[in-house]
Amino acid sequence: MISEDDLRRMLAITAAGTDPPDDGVERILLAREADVPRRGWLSRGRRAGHTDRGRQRAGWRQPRWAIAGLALVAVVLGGGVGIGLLSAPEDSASTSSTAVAPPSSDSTGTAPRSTAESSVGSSVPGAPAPAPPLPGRFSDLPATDARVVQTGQITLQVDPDRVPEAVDRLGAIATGLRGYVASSSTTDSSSPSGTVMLRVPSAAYPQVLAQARGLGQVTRSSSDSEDVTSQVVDLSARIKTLQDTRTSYQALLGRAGTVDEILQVQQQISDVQSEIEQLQGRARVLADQADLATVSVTVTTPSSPRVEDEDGFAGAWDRALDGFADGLQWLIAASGPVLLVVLIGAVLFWPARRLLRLLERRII
Amino acid sequence: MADEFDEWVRASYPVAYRTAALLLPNPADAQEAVQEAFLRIWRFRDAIPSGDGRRAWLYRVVVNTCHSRGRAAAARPKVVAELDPERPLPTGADGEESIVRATDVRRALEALPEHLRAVVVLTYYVGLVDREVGVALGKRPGTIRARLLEARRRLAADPHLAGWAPTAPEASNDL
Repeated sequence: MISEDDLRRMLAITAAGTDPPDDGVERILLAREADVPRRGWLSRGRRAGHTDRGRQRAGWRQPRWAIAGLALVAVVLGGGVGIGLLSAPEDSASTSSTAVAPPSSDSTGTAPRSTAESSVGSSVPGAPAPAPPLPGRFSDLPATDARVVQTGQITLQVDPDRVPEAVDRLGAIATGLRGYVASSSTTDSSSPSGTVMLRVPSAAYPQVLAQARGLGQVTRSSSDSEDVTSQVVDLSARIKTLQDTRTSYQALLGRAGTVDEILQVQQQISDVQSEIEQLQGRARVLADQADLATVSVTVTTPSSPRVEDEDGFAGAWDRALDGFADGLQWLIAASGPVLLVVLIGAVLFWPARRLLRLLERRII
Repeated sequence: MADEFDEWVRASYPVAYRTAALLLPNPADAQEAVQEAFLRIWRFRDAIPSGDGRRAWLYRVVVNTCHSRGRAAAARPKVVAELDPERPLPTGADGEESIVRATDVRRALEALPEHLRAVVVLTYYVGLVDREVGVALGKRPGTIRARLLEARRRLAADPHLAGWAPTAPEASNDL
């Protein structure tokens, strides 16, 4: 270890080896005269009265740091409040409805629909007995060319004690529109709810929504529609082709001679027949879906019971309590993002401090 | 005010210049750095205490300007200051001639990292006390003392100073 005295000597001799330039001082003084004094904002905080010790004891307690610290806290608080406001829990119903595909209710077809067979296209001579048809009451509805499968969901909010009533009335709506209730269920707990699945004719689909609104508050509604026309047309074409094939086989049967030939042709006929029936089954399902829209309605109750029309202090007191609870909920919810921002601010504080220190050095 | 400043510049200039010359390898850079430092002191003279405190602040500014210059000059090839290479350093104990030269000291200083070089020069050349060096570098005196120890350790291990003979027997004890 080199002693301090030796170091002093080393440096003194080494430094003595460089002579300061003769004009060094003069240039400084000249520059000083030419210089227009500038007052940077950083120098305003430090007047000549400050002592070295006070400044040195804890460098970050200078007024500039107080300003920077306040700014940081303000940003953190502002950000936290902003985030808290943005993510405030929804206590009012929000309705989001997507566009409802208009059912193609323009009647262009003239042929009445009465059987499943004819609903998929042309009628075929010599066809075997068709499968059970759709409810016959649809026979007088206009036939449509485009087949659209419509499905919808509605969430309905009613008072807790009116859930069963709402379910019943939904069923009435369905039958009123010449539909039916496919399924329904209710739960009878502290917050009762119910689910109803309605099938109504496609043409009557928008009316379901309209009438459901009259039962309570629609908090959500969405609908989906799928155009299955091409599928239906395709199926019809294939069924037709198969039916033609079956016909020609049957004609062939008349000309068959030997038992072998008869058996072979009959086998072919029955194969084709089973395929026809399969396709017809699919066509029926599609037709059913397209002819009847499916709407599933969920009946709910609001999460917090609202006291309505209570006058006087009791009502005001209840409202105050509600407001307090809501405020507390909001505060707790908002504390999360605020804490996050504070945490981030704390993490950034140290590099920020260093940055400000560096800035300090650059200016001065 | 200006006169007093000028007087003070005249008085402080030599040491300040040499300080910069020790901190920076290039003497031209040193001159510009010192010039800039005094100008900054003039501009912000309201913020700087007068009297004894001014010295620490002067060197604070000098260190900063040297730091900036050093960054700028890092790309340029280093020019070791023109020294009299034959001028040896004082002899060691028992009249031995030390073979450590001024150039060796410069090289040893350059080998130090910047923050250690500054404490060494300010403490052992300028003669500032720990507190003043703390003001100059913006660090607490404890940090300054730790840095001094670290710098001395490194210098003791520096091959450029290997020929240095201790002048007093006690020197070998403080390790």
